[in-house]
Amino acid sequence: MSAGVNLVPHAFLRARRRSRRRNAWLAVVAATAFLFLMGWGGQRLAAHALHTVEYQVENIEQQRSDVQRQLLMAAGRRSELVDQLRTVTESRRPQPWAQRLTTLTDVVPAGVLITSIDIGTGGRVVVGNRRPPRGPANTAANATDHNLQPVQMRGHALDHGALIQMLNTLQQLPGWTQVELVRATLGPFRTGAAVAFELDCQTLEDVQ
Amino acid sequence: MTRSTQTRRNADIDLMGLGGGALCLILGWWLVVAPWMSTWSDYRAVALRRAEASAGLRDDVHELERFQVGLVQLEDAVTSQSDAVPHATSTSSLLREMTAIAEDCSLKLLSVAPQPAANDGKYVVTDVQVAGRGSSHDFIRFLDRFAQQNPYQALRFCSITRLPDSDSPDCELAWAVRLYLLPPGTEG
Repeated sequence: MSAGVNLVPHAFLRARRRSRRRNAWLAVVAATAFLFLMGWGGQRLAAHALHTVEYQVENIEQQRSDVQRQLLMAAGRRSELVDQLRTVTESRRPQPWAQRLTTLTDVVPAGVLITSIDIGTGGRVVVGNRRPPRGPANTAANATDHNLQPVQMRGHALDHGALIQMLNTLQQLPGWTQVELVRATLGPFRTGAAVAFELDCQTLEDVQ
Repeated sequence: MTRSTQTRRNADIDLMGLGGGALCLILGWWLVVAPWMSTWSDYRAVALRRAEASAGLRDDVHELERFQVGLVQLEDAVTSQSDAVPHATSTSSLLREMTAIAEDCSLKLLSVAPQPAANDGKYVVTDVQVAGRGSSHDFIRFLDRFAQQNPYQALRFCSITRLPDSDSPDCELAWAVRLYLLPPGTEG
């Protein structure tokens, strides 16, 4: 038979337990502190990386603002060039008269002799249909800007029928408008008699 | 000594441990977690800005390239068109050209009177009054050739009058053309 006797003083045992507990707590706090320290280090690195990205963004935005400035300059240059091109192309004028006079000589009926044609200086008008300058309807939706040139024709016709035929033909020709008979008088012509006539017309400059 | 007495004696250590832990948590929140959250939020905003800026830059560069190609084409068009349009310094050559065509078309010119040049908006204009004689067919031929050679002019007025008491096809001719010229300094 044996008996166990604890010879270690009680105070020592208590101090050892306290020491273990303190060490445990220290380990917990130290581990926590270490984790936070690692986190803090990571955060500093992340913050640095963030600064780098911000710097990149600033660079990109700077480049973008340069490109936008170039775009603005290019847009200005383009509108300047478009303006120049418009000026250049608009200096090309409609040339209707050769074709128009050729057509006129083709359609003049037999028995009509035109002795003079006077084409006057015109002016711009807004027209909405084939008979332009009269009435307020010129502001219609299909109204367009035209340059009208007055034309005066004089000549002789064998009879009134030929003259009326010519009048009708002229009214049908594209570009001719407001064809009006000013005078038609029967009188002597060379060895016989003929109707001396005078016509007033308007022509649209840009329609052949 | 009972167990509860022992626990009470270790409470000061627990209290200090808990205090240290709480201090660590507070410091950790202040030094680590809050900055991390802030950094993360900033990063998301910056990443979004970078994506937008990159996409915008790409679009703008593409737009600029397209613009520059268009500009080159436009400049070529302006240059080639401007070369064709007479300039203010070319009045005399235009007059020579007109009289040469008139003579080719068998018109007899009696007078050619260029008027002083004047500014008309973006153009310099010069009216040229001409008197001559010839058949109406020749005159129409002249108008056609002149229009083809120099479309940058307009017939201002014209008078074709058959010679009185004559069987000749010749007519008295008088006309004025307005030459549209580009002002000096607009050469392509």
